[in-house]
Amino acid sequence: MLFDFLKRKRKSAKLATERLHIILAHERGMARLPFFDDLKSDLIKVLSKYIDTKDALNISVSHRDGYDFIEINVPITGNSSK
Amino acid sequence: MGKIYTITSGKGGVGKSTTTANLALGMAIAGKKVVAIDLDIGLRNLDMILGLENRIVYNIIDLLEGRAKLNSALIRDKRGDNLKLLAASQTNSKEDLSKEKFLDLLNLLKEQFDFVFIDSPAGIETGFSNAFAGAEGVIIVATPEISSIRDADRVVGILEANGKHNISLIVNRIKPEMVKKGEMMSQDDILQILAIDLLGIVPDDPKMIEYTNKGEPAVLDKISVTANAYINITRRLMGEDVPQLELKPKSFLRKLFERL
Repeated sequence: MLFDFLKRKRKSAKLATERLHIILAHERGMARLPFFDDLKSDLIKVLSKYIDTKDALNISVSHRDGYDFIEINVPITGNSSK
Repeated sequence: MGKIYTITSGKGGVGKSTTTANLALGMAIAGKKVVAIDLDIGLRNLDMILGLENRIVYNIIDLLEGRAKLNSALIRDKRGDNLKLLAASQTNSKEDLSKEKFLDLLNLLKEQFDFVFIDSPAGIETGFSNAFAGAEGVIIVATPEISSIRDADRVVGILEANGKHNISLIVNRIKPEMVKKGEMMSQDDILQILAIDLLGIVPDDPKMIEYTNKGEPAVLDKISVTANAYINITRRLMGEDVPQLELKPKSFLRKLFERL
């Protein structure tokens, strides 16, 4: 515990590569899907017709195995059927 | 026919002009006929890094607009005949450069020189697309920092979307001591992220400011590791297979020796 600050410092290069991998996967996806922002706002409109999407709605692009994935995460809380 | 390379980065301040100066001068020392073009219109700097600021009469805009002949716009390097500089204009803006005329000029220069190095402005606006339009190869300079690498990736994306696929990377200002401790990304980390070819690595060199102060690029300080790094890169550009420099953290004795 006393040396925790040392450990954290040693990992900063690794942390930088991890952060870059994540942000660049997202940004490259966005560059390949120029319509993404419009799609996202349309999806939010549709989803909010049925579900209370105020918080924690997450629509993002990821890239795995040579494919782009649009990922939609909508937590459905207790009484959210409008 | 000569080869045209554009040196670019996305993020400013990572050493584009210094890299251009050293590659151009390194090539000239190796006996190639070289022209270095400063395309950072409005923010001229390559002239000072090369120590040629007092020789400039005409600049690239003068040349493209017909106010100067090619021979008077090409500034001769004070160290020899092989290197010529085409300076940026200080009074114009980046939009003042006509892409068509610039591409015509590149075609002309290709016939007279072995290598043309274009120092691109930072950013991804007008000046940037002019800078890579006529180039066969694009060299991206990045430092081991997240902002530099993120911007480099953006530039790679734009280049590929414009049909440029001969893209290679120079990792600049590596500090081997910090890499060893895990406090700085290594060139392998960066290559894995950007997924482009490595052209070379250049160590972080405290003497760099001295070289710039004097207008004598690092490549002239032949015994330095930095000069070797640049010379290796020029040899790779000439088609030689040169192993990557191994940067080792300096020993205590070496540090002591350098202080003397």
